[in-house]
Amino acid sequence: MNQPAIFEKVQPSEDDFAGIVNESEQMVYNTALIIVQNEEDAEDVTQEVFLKVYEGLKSFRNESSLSTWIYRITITTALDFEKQKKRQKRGGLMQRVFGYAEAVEKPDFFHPGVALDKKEDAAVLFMALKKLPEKQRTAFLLHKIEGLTNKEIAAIMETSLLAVESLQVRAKNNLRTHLKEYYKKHFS
Amino acid sequence: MKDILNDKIDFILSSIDGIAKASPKPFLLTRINAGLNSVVAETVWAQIAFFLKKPIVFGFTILLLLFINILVIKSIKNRSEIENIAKTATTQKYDFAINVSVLYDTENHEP
Repeated sequence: MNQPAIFEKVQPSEDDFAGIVNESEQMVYNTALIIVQNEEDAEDVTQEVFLKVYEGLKSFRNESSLSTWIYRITITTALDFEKQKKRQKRGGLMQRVFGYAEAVEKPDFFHPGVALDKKEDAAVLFMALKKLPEKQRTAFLLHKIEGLTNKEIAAIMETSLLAVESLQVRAKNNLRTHLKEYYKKHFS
Repeated sequence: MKDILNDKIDFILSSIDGIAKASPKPFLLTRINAGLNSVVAETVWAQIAFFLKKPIVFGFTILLLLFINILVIKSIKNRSEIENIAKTATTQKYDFAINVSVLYDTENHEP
């Protein structure tokens, strides 16, 4: 990671908050966006993350770098947000009364950063990514989209380098399986 | 057929290679600051609620309410007793006045 100066500070204070927001807003928003797959939700998650960062600055002990710490907060917040949204969808009164109807599988997220000619394919990939277990998805996305090294991902996920490599391999294999199923179901 | 499918999957897997980073809407810091202010306002009420939720405070409040209730009931009782005494006294006084006048009338007959 190419660290901005503010991330190198040993003990950032609340006065550094504006600088931290300016330096990391894109990183936080992007990470939230690839997890929650909705631009408005990603905005909400970004705001929530920075509120947590502001509250946590006093107790930040510099055990990890500031950006690693912010990444961790972002991933946890985005995954929690996603779970809460899923629960709300599932918990609808009508669905409870008439039984849970499985949502129709449809690629519906078009990342604004994907080239126009690849938008449809990327949407299918994002749909398949939703089916991966959280850890596999995080390891895959941080590497593929955020461009982080496995060492950085291991620090963020608080796991070993070997575990990150394993998660990425499993993520790719699972994605292949899900994509095969999707194409067999819809195009055969 | 299998090769076509595998090629397609490879193509999909590489569709996010070199993806550009998305940016949030402008004035994010302003919105975060607004959010922080509302959180501060919320925390004042949250602190009050937290204080009131403590078992000692809760128990003490209940006891205080009971004590006030007992005091009010007692004072109402006392007041009604005093009123009763006053009423009896007035009645006795009235009766005495009547009796006196009757006595006066019976003892002082006009010749």
